[in-house]
Amino acid sequence: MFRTFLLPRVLQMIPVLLGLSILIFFLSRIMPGDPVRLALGPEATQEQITQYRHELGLDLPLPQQYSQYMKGLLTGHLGHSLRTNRDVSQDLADSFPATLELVLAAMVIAVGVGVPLGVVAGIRKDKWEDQLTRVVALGGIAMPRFWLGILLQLLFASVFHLLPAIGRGDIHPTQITGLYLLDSLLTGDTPAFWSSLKSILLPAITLSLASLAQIMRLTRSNMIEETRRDYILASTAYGVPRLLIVAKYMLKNAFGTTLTTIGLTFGYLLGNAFLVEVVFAWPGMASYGVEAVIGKDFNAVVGVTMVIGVTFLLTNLLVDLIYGWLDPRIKYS
Amino acid sequence: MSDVLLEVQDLNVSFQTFDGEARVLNGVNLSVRRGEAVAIVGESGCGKTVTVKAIMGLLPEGSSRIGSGRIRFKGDDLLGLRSSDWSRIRGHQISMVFQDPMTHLNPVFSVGDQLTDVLLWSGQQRVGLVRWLLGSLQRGKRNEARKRAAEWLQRVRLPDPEGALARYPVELSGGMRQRVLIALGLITEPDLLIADEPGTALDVSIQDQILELLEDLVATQGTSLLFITHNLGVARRISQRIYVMYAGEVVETGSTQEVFDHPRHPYTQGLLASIPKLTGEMGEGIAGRIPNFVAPPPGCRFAPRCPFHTDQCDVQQPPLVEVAPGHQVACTLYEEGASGQ
Repeated sequence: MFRTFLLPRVLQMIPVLLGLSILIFFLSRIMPGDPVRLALGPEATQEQITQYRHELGLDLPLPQQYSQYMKGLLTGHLGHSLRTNRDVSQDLADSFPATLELVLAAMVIAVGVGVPLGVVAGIRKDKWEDQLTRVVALGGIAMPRFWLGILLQLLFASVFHLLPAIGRGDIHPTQITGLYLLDSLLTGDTPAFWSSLKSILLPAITLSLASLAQIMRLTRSNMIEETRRDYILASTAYGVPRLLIVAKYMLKNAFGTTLTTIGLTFGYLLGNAFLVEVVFAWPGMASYGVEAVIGKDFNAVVGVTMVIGVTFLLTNLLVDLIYGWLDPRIKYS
Repeated sequence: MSDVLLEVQDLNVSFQTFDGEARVLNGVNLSVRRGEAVAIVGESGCGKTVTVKAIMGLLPEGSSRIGSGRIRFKGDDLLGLRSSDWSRIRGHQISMVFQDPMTHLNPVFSVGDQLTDVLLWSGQQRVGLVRWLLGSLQRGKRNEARKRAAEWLQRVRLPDPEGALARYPVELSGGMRQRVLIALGLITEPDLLIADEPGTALDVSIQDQILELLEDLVATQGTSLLFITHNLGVARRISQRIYVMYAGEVVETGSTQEVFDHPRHPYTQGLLASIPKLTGEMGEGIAGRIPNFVAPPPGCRFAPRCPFHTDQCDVQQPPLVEVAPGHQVACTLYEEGASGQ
């Protein structure tokens, strides 16, 4: 299992990451505009600029810059941020857990609600349950995220005063992983848990809705396909109860494609959470990344991209592993 | 007759198709007695599988419609069953061995999982989620079920039955999968086993082993058998009584011996004549093809292909008439007044 299935997939990640780092490094260096001039402001003299460029190593040839960057990467340094004046790795350590927690919460909602609704819609095809979920799905896909976020804020924060409109909550737990929900559970800090849960609910729902709709529709069509399978008919003929057929025999078959989507969605949400982060003033990495692009903070751009890349690959590795368990045919082919 | 297990009377089934309503079964009558092996033969598309699906309540909802008729099993009217009552019938009373071993096993569950689930859950009216989870935790019960599953794999002569429990269908050959399908159909020890052309997807020598196995098990279990096949040789070998179907109608029935020795219906005669002989001649075959079910011939559905076709045949569907004890034929040739040919 380890040697034939896991190891090749882990080894494959190395060239992918190397390629990604080369691509994003050179792209960030040839972006139009001068990041140093931008960082020092309009008052800076030409000398100051040359001086700063030299300090940052930007006067070196590009391949040399890259090799220095890679050396830093191996020791955990992602270079200096022109905007925050800190090491990018520090910035990311602060902001990445917030985004990760938000995306994970959104995924839990998308899968936890999307899959069951898809199952119900699939086995009750063309009945009212199916029609209702269809409307929800269309709405979820059609409505822009930031707009939905603002609506939810208006309703739950301004009108009903149930949930906070912005931020990560007032009470913060002792930092272990940086995921507040997890940390507060690990330390048994109940007030911090409730505060974190209340503040993450609205942004997570906002972020999840489009993916939820997608996962639901996909699960639905897979379940419909499963109802026509010979082996499902056979199980019925053997007298296996309906619920067992649906929840076990059909769902495990139907979940395969959904799982692939889940893996892809995870990476997508990491990079695209910024609108939600902006609306909910969520101190996450996605908004950090967008500010970095606008400010031509090239080291931060490379850092954010690499973190998203690594997370994306790890998620898909996990998906591959679950796949092997889900469908034995994959292991044997 | 009190020993009648299954009785189908005047069954009419139609399907909604793009071209209109296809009347696929037209007044089918058949019965199976306790301990009896009965065969339904006919060419592909003549309604054999639809008949057994109707018996098992497995016709697709929405597109199919049971127009009229009765299906009685041990006094129960199967057509009037609510879906929750089917759990009483399927599995423990009537079960099925399916035709294609490649598509009728669930690819993502091990053989043992599929067998034990049938053992543990078949016949349960409804499974609450909680009961299911609790049930999966009951190790003792599961182990016992696994033991019985292994016994059944032994009985269907699968090599290494213990090891096979952990295997997935993809790891088994076609013949082995067919054996698993037989175990799945028999593990609930049903009173009636419906076998839908088992083994036809396999090569002839394996098919022969499968038939032998099925004959054996049915005999030792005292199970009644309703066997569907397009292969007359197989039908002759396995059954005591036979129903010949054509285009959704039973055209001839009787004891297998009698029907094979004295086939009366032109269709049965044609079928028998179309079997290739060992002398090297190819069979003759029957000209033409199965009629359109949306607009079938007005009288006898076989009339357009029949070598003895008369004007009488197009007037109305001939009823089944008895030509010898227990031997019935639906053909104008044998109606009152007409003399046999």
